[in-house]
Amino acid sequence: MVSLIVAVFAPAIAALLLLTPLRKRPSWVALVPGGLFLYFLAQIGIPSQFFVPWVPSLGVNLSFQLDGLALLFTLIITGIGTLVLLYTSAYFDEREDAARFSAYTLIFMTAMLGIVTSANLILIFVFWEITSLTSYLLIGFNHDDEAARSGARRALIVTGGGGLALMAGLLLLGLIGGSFEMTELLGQGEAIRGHSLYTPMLLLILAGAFTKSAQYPFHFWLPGAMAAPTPASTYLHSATMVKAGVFLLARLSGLLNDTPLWEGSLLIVGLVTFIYGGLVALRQTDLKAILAYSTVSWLGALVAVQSSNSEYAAVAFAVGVLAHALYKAALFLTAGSVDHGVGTRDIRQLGGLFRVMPFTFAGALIAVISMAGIPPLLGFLSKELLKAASLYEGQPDAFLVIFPVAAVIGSALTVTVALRFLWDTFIRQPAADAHHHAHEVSPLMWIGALVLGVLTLLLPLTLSTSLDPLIGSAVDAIRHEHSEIHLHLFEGITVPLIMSVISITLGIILFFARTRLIAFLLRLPELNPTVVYQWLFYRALPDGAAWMTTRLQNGRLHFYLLVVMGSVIFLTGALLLLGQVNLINEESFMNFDPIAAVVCVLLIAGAITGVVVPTRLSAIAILGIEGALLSLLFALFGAPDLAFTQLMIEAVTLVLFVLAFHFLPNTFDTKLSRVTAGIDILFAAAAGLTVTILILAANANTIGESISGWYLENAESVGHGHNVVNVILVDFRGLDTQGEIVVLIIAAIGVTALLRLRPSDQARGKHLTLEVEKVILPPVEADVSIKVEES
Amino acid sequence: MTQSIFFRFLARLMMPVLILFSLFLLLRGHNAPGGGFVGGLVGAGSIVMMTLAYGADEVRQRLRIDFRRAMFYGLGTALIAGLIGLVVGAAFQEAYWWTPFFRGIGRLEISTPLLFDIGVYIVVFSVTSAIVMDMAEEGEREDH
Repeated sequence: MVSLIVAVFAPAIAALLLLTPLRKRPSWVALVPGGLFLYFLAQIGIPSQFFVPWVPSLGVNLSFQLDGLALLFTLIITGIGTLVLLYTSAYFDEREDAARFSAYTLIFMTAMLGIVTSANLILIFVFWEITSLTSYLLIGFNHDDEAARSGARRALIVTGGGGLALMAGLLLLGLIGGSFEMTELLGQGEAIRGHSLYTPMLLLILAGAFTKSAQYPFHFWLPGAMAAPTPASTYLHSATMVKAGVFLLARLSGLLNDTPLWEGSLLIVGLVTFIYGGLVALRQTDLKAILAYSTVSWLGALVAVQSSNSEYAAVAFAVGVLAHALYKAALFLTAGSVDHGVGTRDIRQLGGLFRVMPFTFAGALIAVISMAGIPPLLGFLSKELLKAASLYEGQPDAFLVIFPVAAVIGSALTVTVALRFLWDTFIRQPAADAHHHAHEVSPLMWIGALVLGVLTLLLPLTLSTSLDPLIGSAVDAIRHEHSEIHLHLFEGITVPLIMSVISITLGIILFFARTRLIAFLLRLPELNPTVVYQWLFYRALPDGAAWMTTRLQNGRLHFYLLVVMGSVIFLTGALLLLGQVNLINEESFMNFDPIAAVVCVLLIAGAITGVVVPTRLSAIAILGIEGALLSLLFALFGAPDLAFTQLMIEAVTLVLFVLAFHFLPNTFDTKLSRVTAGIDILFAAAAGLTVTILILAANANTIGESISGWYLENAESVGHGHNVVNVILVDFRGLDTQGEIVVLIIAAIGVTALLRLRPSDQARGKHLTLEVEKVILPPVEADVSIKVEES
Repeated sequence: MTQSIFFRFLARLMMPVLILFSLFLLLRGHNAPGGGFVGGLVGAGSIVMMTLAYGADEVRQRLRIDFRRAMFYGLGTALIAGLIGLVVGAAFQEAYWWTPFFRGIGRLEISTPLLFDIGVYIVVFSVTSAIVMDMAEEGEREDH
């Protein structure tokens, strides 16, 4: 269906609208996701597909499918996206900021819709990377702020690194399954699980999913991402993007699950994250950090629940995603409103806000009750299902003990975190002099949280009509078989209900004992992998690079030449020796050409003279002559194009050399020591020998069939030209030429920038990158970019 | 920069000749030795000669061509030539030929490879000229 692809790309197109005068009213673009939400709502129970070849030779296609799983996520993405865009327009003081922010958010929305609706592994990866990039832009939105910049960089490094692993994993999966299309892979679950590459493939895919979904020990980028404006935290870092990882696990579970590796890694990583996130959330004092760690915690639960492939697991996953998106987005919006209305997010300085901000409080209240899992809200259902899934009997015996216990403890911690959030922000008596400027925020900012709260309240009360079809089709899509889903809030006194009662009671007890609990937690080591990250990317990598640079790029051309020649000699020489190639091609020795021989003798004589002449000018002149002789040789062997081009290159090079003379003394005045001279001669001789052997070897060994015949035959019929060289350059291998002219331009920019950069400038902190920017950008913009760099 | 009247005269004489010759090379390239790359080099040769004769500053003032910008126009032309294939046909840089017949002139062969070659010509022309002029300018500054 064409409407599907239109729906996916509509937000990105709407982002273009923000370049028009509409940028003065950015809240209007919220109509786009709002309309999409209604569109997707109408698609419940109607699976649709869209397929257009993109790079068919590589198996990459624009192939989209809207199944139940995708539909659940599209509703979350567009629904919460609408509320967030409305919130955004009131959140920013400057309209320009709101417009820019909305544009990034809309691009992200298309990428996220793309991830969930793609039915091609490569396409998923492409959208996946776009979400990482837009997340980078959104976290670093206030780029004057150092914390925002480093948070953005950290998120990009971690999720981007995971993205690389994911790409490798998806490529392996495609190779094993023989296709990148989900529909074609589906039947091959058995073959994929039995393949010898299954383990590395799964580990790579898990690395991608775990970094994106902030699982321990990769979670640390998510708290750092809280430097983003709150609408971005709400949307990307709680409701949608961080769920891409768990979504991918659900999408691929049919192909990959049911192995000990899958079960073990998902359960252990998920549960560790679940409990770690809850504990660390209690240690935080920043509202957004508390919410970030509790998001990490629940993402852990969503990973753990997918370790088994039971029906309960799929239901718990689908409801868990929806419930969390609703209440956590509401809480993030609340945190942003509190920040906006009071001017601080430090929980120690807040309190008593329910009087000042009644509407914000109302939204937060419902969300917190849902988060704590108290009936009859959606959060209760989700926590209940988690416990039901943890009791699944098909698991290994050890899991049957660990999982339920961890589920109870993790849920209890969630209860404590939720209650603390509500109590400390809104209810308890504030310090006497605190926030007398506090005020309620504009309706656009509290309406979002309230709408989400009402949904959390209404959905569980209308289970059979609203949730059953949605969750049912999502479960079908995850498990690839039909199952009848009927959700109930109350099913009698069951084990999960007893577990829920225990965890809520435990959570309330912990809440009353929170002062002592937090003091105790603060004494524990944090086990924060940020230290490793900081050491790796701020110490080891820059130091290593600096060490390499000072050693290898010491500024002496002579040394560079030695390195380049040495590498060529060593690598090709080793290959030639290992390969034991044939060097003599009798046929080519038979065709002796006396004229060519004369030219060659002249070339050799010129080369020797070039080494011994005393002045630079004469050396350059001889180099020019050598070039001319070489082009003569090309002409003799019937390559007029090559000869002509070579001659022109020689002419221009000669001029460049002469121009460079302004900077150089005419005589070679450096005295070389015997050792240095000896090394030079050795390297030169070895390089000459290597090239000679290479040419002989190339002439004597044919590897595969030569393609030149094809070019000669087809130049005229296909390429419509008699000059085969030119037809190859502009037609057959035009893409290469395209790349080459780009390189040419880069080289020209580099030359100009280097010429402008004087040795004295470097002391004053001028950078080569700055000079490059000045060459590329028009003057005014160049000034701006310099300011950014300096700040 | 040289003060030699003879060389300056020669450079001015050669400039139109070289430019015409470079265009000739560009257009005949598909069927005979030539093409955008070598054409661009020959064309840049005229700028090189003028720079050597009059100095970069004067050439810049008289020509009023910003080669650093022109090279991007060349790249754009080459990209457009590639994109035509993508829009009209199936693949990026697929070749398309258009052969209109003009009374009195004859049959013309206009094609995306030709457009692409023009892009290459502009890039090579401007890159070479820009580098040579920058080098010459830097040398002059050093002399002062």
